[in-house]
Parts: sequence; C-alpha cells; structure tokens
Amino acid sequence: MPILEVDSLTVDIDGEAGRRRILDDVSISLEAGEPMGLVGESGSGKSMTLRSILGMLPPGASVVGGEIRFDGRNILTSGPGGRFDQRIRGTGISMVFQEPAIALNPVMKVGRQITDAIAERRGLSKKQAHDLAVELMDSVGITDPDRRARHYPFQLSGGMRQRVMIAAALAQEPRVLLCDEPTTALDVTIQAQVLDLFRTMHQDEGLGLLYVTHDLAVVAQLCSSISVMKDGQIVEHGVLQEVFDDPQEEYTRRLLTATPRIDEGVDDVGLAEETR
Amino acid sequence: MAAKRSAASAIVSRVFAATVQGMPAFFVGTLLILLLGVNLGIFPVGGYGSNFGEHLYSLVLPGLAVALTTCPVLIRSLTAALNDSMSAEYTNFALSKGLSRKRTVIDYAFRNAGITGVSILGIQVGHLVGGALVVENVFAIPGVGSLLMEAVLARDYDVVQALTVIFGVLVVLVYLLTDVVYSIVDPRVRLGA
Repeated sequence: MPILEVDSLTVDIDGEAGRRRILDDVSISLEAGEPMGLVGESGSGKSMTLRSILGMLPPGASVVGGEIRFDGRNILTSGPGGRFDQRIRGTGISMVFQEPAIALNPVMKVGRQITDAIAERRGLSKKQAHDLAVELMDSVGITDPDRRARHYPFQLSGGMRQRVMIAAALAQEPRVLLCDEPTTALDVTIQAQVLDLFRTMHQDEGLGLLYVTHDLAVVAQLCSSISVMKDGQIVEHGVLQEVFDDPQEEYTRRLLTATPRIDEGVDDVGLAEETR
Repeated sequence: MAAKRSAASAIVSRVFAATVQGMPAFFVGTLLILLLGVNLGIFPVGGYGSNFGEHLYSLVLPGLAVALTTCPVLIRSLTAALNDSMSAEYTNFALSKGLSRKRTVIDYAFRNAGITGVSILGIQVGHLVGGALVVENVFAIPGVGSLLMEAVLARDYDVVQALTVIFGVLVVLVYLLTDVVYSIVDPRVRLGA
C-alpha cells in the first residue's frame, strides 16, 4: 500500500480576479521509500501540491475536492473536529524548503530550531534537545556539530543552512520528506553534496521523497519515478527511465528537449515557442 | 471563525490607532481631565501633590495622555511587522515541523516583529524627553518642560543652556539603551552579520 496518496486533489484560490483553480484533480501515489520527482514549469502547482499535503495553503486557498491519505488515513479530515490533522507534520511528513536563508528563524540558534518541535511534543529538556540536535547535525554531515548548534543561521554557509533544515525536517523520523526545490538556491558543488545526502537518507532510512524541481538532471540522479505537472494538473506519470525514453505527452517531450545540452545548440528550445 | 475574530480586532486596532493619531496631545489631555478628572472625579485634574504617593497619583492622567498619543505609530508598525513575520517562510517552516501555533507565534513571529518594535520605541522615548512639555502644561505639572518654557520666556539663558544639555544627554542615553536592547534581541547586530 502506498504511504502517501494524493487522490483527485482540487484546490481553488480566491484572488482579486475571482476564484481560480490552482490544482485540478491532482493524484500522486508514493510508495514507502520511493523517491519521486515532481517536475513542471513555475506556476504549474508543484509547490501548492506540497503545501496542501502539509495543510499549509496560503490565505484564500482551499481544498474543494479530493483526499490526501497518509498510511491509509485521510489527513484532510482526520484531525480534531474533522479538520486537517496537524499531528502528521514532522512525525509523518516533513518538508525541506527552497531557500534556507529565509526559511530559518534569523534570531534563533540553529540547534534549537532543529529540535524545538520534537522537544515541545515529547517534553525534552534543554540538554536533551541540544544533544539530539548535535546528533542530527552530525548525521546530515555537519562537522563540529556541538559548536555549530550554537550558531545563528547567518553564521552558516548556504549549504550548511540547508543541512540544518534537513536535520530539522528529519528530527521526528518522518516517513515522507517533501522537497521544494531544496538545491535551487545552492551552488553546483554544494548542490551535489546535498543531493548525495538525500540519496543516503532515502536508501538508508527508507524515506519516501516527493522531490519538486524544474531541474530534470536532479530528477534523473535521484528519483525512480516522475510526475509531470502543467497548469495545476498531472499530465504524465511513470517510471523515470520510461518517461525519459518515451514520453507519452507532447508537453513532457518539450520539457525534456528544453534541457540545454553542451553539445547542441540552444536556439531551438521547444518551450520558448509557447511564451512567444 | 478565528480568522473573522482577528479581522475584527485588526479593524478595531486600526480605527483606534488612526483616531488617536489624529488627536494632538493637549486635546487628549483635556479630554482625559474632563472625563476622568471633572466628571468622574477619579484622578486629580492637575498639579503634582506634595508627597511621593500623590506624585504618582497625579502622573496617571498625564502618563495616559502621553501613552495614548505615542502608541498609534507603535501599534501600526508592530501590526505590519507581525503580519510580515507571520507570513514569513521561517514561520511556515516552523509549522511544517509540527511546532504548535502558540510556540510558533511566540518564538518565531513575535521575536522577529519585536526587533522592529524596539527601534521604534527607542525613537519615541527619545522624542518624549523633550516632547512631554505640552502635556506638562495641560496638567500644570512643575516638570522640566515647564521649567524650560518659563526660562525661555524669562530669557534665563543659563537655565535654558543647562536644560538643553541635560535633554541632549538623556536622548543620547535613551538611544544607547535602545542599541543595547537591540543587540540583545537581534544576534545579527551583536555578532556582526
């Protein structure tokens, strides 16, 4: 049975121009330990999909149809009073955000940010929380974690901050990690290191990954399956290699050919035609 | 429901801030004297009393007048700062970790909004050092503001000069204190970002 199932999820948002559908009948099925890539251009609804899974839609947006099942339970209604089940956050599903520079609290030491949620839930003492933070920082490859846990985000490099965020997301041993372009803000060498970290996490811990990106190279390195989004809909889904070799949808084909290659010209990028 | 309630309180605080912001201090002071002093008789209408207890008692209304005229700017800037930090990405991340709403608001939203509050409060208090003159006059309090005005009218240059220096030193001290508090609440200032 899949660990996370998004079933016909439909989300509307009320804006100045009236009601608009931002997610239309989105279905995603993620097996335990599966790394799935979710790709598409900006504004296609990738991030919205992730935010709906954590019940963190922006003001004005609301789920108008569909279910999100975690371990067979519809978390949209299984919380107290039939609302979103917030207990799932951190313990079942966590998220790594795109920009570690703005997703960490600038005035709180990173060690505390890693374990504040688990400390609150389990009533850990300051010492226990700090020790756990050090342990987690060590596990995501931060050297000298005991000292760095006492640092503030601005004292760490971009790659370090992203590792801190990953450590915080993994603190309560979730089974699914949502990644919202977690390497986009990093430079290429650091990006490779962080991708390695994701790969280890998923292989060693059996962590399911739903990895949102517009970088197909990253998907090719990390994921075993891929879903393609366009205008709030999933237009194609399949095993990574099959989709890459033989895309069924015209949009996917153009997305794949839109990746510039060093040995080819870039003047006939398919996607550019549409915006022209 | 919670959203409706917060929308209602936002409107109330904005109407209050805008109304009070439009009133000069002497007007607010006079209103307070009329309402709480003359009509209800709870507080003295003016003067300063003769012992410490009476001093404090006489300072309630002037304090209230100063507070009412100082708070609108603070209310509005804090509201804006809080709105910003509530929708900031670090607040979203805190919620996504499963931190309770209460802790998120206190540790993430308030802490960051407070930094803005401290700097604005510092400037406001700096203004108060010399700016409470009008209120002092309305309540007939023999304060340094009234002293300065009498000295100016009497061309008592020595007193004017002394008071100016004292005001200057006080303002500098208030700003210094603001900076110290600022470095406590914002580690980026303390450790140099």
